[in-house]
Formats: sequence, C-alpha cells, structure tokens
Amino acid sequence: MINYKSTIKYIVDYDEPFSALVEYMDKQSVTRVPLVFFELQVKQLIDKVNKGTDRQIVDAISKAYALRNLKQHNFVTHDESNESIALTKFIEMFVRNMSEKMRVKPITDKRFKAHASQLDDILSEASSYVSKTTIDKANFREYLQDFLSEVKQDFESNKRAITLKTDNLSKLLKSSETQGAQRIIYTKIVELCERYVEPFFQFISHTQDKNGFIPTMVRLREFFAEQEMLDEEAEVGRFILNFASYTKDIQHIYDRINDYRRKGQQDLIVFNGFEKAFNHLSEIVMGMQDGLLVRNDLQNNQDFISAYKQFDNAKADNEKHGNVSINYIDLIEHFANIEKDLVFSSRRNSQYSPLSQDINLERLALDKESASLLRARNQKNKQLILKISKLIKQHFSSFNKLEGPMDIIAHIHRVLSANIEDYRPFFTLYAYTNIRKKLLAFEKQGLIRVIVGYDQRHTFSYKGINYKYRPIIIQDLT
Amino acid sequence: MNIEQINLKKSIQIYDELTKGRIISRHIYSSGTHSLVDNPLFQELRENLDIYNNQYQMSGHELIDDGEYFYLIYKKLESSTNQLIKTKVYSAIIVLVRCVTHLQARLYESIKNVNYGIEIKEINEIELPEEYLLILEKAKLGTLDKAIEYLADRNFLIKTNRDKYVLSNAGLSIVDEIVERQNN
Repeated sequence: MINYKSTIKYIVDYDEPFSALVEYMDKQSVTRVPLVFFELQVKQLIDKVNKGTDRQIVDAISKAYALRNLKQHNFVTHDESNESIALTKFIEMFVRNMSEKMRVKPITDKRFKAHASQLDDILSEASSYVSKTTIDKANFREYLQDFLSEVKQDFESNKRAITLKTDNLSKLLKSSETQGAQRIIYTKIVELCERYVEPFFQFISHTQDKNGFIPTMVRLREFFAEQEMLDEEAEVGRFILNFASYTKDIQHIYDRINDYRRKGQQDLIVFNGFEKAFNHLSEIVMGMQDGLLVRNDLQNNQDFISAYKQFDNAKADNEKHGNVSINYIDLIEHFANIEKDLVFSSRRNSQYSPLSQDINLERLALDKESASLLRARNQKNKQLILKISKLIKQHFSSFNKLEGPMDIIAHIHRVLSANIEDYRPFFTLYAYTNIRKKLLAFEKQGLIRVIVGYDQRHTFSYKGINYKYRPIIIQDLT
Repeated sequence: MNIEQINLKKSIQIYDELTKGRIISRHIYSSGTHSLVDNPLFQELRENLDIYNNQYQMSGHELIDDGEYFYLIYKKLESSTNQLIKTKVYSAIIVLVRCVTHLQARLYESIKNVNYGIEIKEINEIELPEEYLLILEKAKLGTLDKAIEYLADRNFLIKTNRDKYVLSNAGLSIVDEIVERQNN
C-alpha cells in the first residue's frame, strides 16, 4: 500500500485504468463496473509501462492501483456480492476532467517567439517583393497566407487550452475533498501558469512595443496595401483588430489563474521549505544520539541555534518579573562592609552589655553539662556492648555436643540476666541479632540445624513481667 | 521624548506580557467578530518606541522590534551558548507546520487563516513518527500538544473561539524566516 499523495500522483500520471472505467460506465449507463474489467485495465497498463520504465515506478503503479490501496484512500467502493467496483464522486470528477478535457495541450511561448521572428523575416523579404519573379511572388504569398493561418490557429488554440485548463483545475480544486489532493492540483496550476500562461502573457504584453508583434503586423498590412493585395491586407487587418479582444481574454485568464498560483505557490514554497528545515533538524537530533552528554541538548547545539536569527537570549517565561543582571564585584564589596559593621557592633555589645555575656556563659555551662552526660552515657553503652559481646563469645562460640535441642532465646536471656546487673530484656534481642549470622553459617556447614517456631510462642519472665517470643531451636547434627 | 504620552494601563500590560517571555504581535484575535484586529499594545509600543526602549534598557533588557512583533531579550555583550527559548520556538514551529502540511496533508492556508485552524484533538489523533518524537524530546517540548500550548502561551499561535489555533504575525514571520533560510 502507498500513501494518498503518491496514489494521486500515479493516477494523474497513469490514468488509463480509471479513464477506461469512466468510459465503460458511460457506454453501459451503469455506475458500477465489474472488478475483473478494472483488473484487466490495470494489467494492460502495467504491461504497457513495463517496457522501458523504471522497475520502481512499475511497482508503484501496481501498488497505487491495488484494490486495497484504492479502497483505503476512498477512491473506490467495492461490492463483494457481485465483485464490482464504483468510483467515488471525487475521483470520478477528477478522472473525467483529466482524461477528457485536459488533453488539449497549451503552446509554449517559444513557438510564439518563433512566429515573431518569422514575421520579421517576412517583412524584410517583403521589401524585395517588387523585384521577385512571378513564381517567387506566388510562393511568397502562399507562404504568407500559411503563416497568418498558423499564427491565428496557434493563438486561438492556446487561448482555448489555457482557458479550459484553468477552468478544469479551478473546478477540481473546489471539488477536491482533501487538502492533500488540493496541493497536487495547486502544483499543476503553478506548472500551467509558469510553463504556459505567464510566458504567453508576457509575450502578448510586449506585442504593442515599437518592434513588437502588432506594430510589425501593421507594417505588413501597409505593405499589402501598397502592393494592392487587398485580401491579404484585409486578413492582417482582421488579425490586428481581433488581437485587442484576444489580449483582454488572456488578461482575464491570467488574473484568475494567478490568484490560484499565488496561493498554490506559497503553499508549495512552505511545504518544500519545511521539508528541508525538518530534515535538517532531524539530522541534528539524530547526530546527538551518540551518547555524549555534552552534545545531548538541542538548546546547546550551535548548528541549530546559528541557523536562525531571532530569539537569541530571549526572555524566559519562568523567571520573576524585573529580574536584572547582578554586578557581583559590587555585591561582594557590600557584603564586606556589612561584615565589618557586624564585627564592630558585636564588639561593642560584648563590652557594654554584660547581660548578653551572662546568658552566653549560662548556655555554655548547660552545653558542657549535656555534653558530659552524653559522653558518660556513651561510655556506659560501650561497656555494656563489650560485656554482651564477651558473654556471647564465652557461651555461644560453638554449639557442639548439645545435649538436646536448645531454645537459643531462653538461653541468651538466662546468661545475660545472670551476668549483667542492670539487665533489660531487649539485651537478649540485641545479643541474638549478633549471633544470628553465626547460626546460619553453622547450619550451612551442616554442623547444626536451626528450627524457627513460626507457630509457637515461648515465654520468659523478668521482674514479674512475661515476655513472649518466637522460639529458635538449635540441634546438634554432629 | 515625552513620558506623559505613555498610556500607563497599557504599559503595565506590555510589561506583564514581555517579562513573561511573550510576544506582542501586530494583530490579536477578536472573538466577537471572529477576525484578527489591531493589537492596542502593539500600537502603543510602536507609537512610543523610544520611551519603551529606554525603559527596558534600564532594566538590563532589550526590546526587539521585528516589524510585525516585539519581544524582550537579555541585553548581554556575548550571546549565551544555551538558547532554550529559541530552540523551543523554532523546533515547535518546524514540527507543527511539518506535521500539518505533511502528515495531515493540509494546505499551509489551514494554519494561517483564522477561518480554518488546527485542533489539539486532531493533532492528538496523529501517530507521530519517531523522528518527530525525538525532536520534541530533545527540544524539551514533551508532546506536540504541549508544544502547541507553549507557542500559544507565548503568542506565536492564536486560539480562536472555535478552539482552533492559527499562526500569529510572530508565528508567520518565523515561518517566513525558516522558508527563506531553506531556499537560500
């Protein structure tokens, strides 16, 4: 499947299958066409373009005309009950306009410039007309008539082609349902305008110049008058007269298509400009994906920042109002002065305000007292910890040759409460957490077995209070 | 230079807008008429530009006049290497316009004409390709709807009474600059 724009592009460039569909619908007076007919048209197109066309283009045409793709982009509706398809309104109009009317091709300005140049040659040749032989005169007259006829036809045909193309594209533009399709039509309008309308209009605009097409034609008419070639004189005269209305018509078409062109051209310029800008930005961002944190912020990327000129140092929105830059040297000097003032005032206070000195001493004494208390308490705790560690080492360094299962918590409690004067039950918990790792290591070595009594509760008493705990039972495996 | 000709009420509004990092554009949106009308703050700045230039220079800033809009910058001798605001503004506009013209396949007209505009709801329905997401991330914009809100908050986008956004004069100028830069 390919995207909408590409599908439209290939339908525009290779419209035969859809043209055949429209033709079939008109001939048979039906709105639905057998799917097999459509597939045959697509196959014929593929066979046709297969010769001498790039493989990628052939594949793209094939994908563009795939039923699934056309359905996806809402160009056709598919009736599975009788295997037929119908074009949607937009695409039907699109194809009708393209395939039936847009084949009238406008003429480039090169051809008109060639006519102007030819006219100059004719005029210079006319100056020697009198000296020509009878046959040369006859040949010259015939050549002149052919020339006038050809010029007239070209002007008329070009006016018709440009008018028709402008009308068709305008209608198409108004009826197109999506803006993606409009952009493609705008592209066509810009192309029509720049290739045909604009140069042709420029050519016509200069036809009234001193040596332009019309004054040269006037001189040619005068020549015929001198030669008493009345038919030729009348023919050129009519051409000159018609030219006034002709210029007016072209001016009207030019103004009309120019409005579309301006709109379409602006759109295409922005479209293409942003394609490039986005790719440039995308390349920069992809280049930042190299894991180097220093370059990892777009806001520090000079390639991007220097590409555009506005908003350097732009005011940020998240700052407080009136935020101004600071003179740091000035600020430091101010702080130095403030510091001096504070020192002086502090000295003055200490000399002339004994009260503040007393308060300070009192606070100092309190601080000292609390500090010594803290030190004493820390010392006591340290001794206690050492004592518990010593007892653990003494009683629980090994668990060999146990007589029976040992309730380790009860055992610790017994040892500690018997050996520590101001024993408190949480010492047991502290001691157990210290030997727990050792127990697990012994169990791992296969020396003992540790059983946790998850669903049991034992009790020990201290100073008349019962403490419940989950028992940890140790068995000697040796 | 006559300070008395300054409209104090407007000057306060101008100060409030500019110091919040917002743009003052030539036109603002009138919900009553559903059209763009002259911005009185822009006119006030334009008519008394010298006085306002002085005001902001005195506070260490510079008032930038782009012709179609005004904004405030820090007046520094050397440009900073870190340009977060600039990065956000340009990245957001590049991603947004590219998304509208390429992914949505809409005409440029749809984001500049007040009768059309883009909707956050529509934007959120688009599954953005990886490269869009990466740019939004690196520009610290987050998501595309956040980028739209960022642009709208700074007056690069105008919100219409149909809950649609179109480019302001400032936004259009940035688009022109981007296009011009790419075509040179």
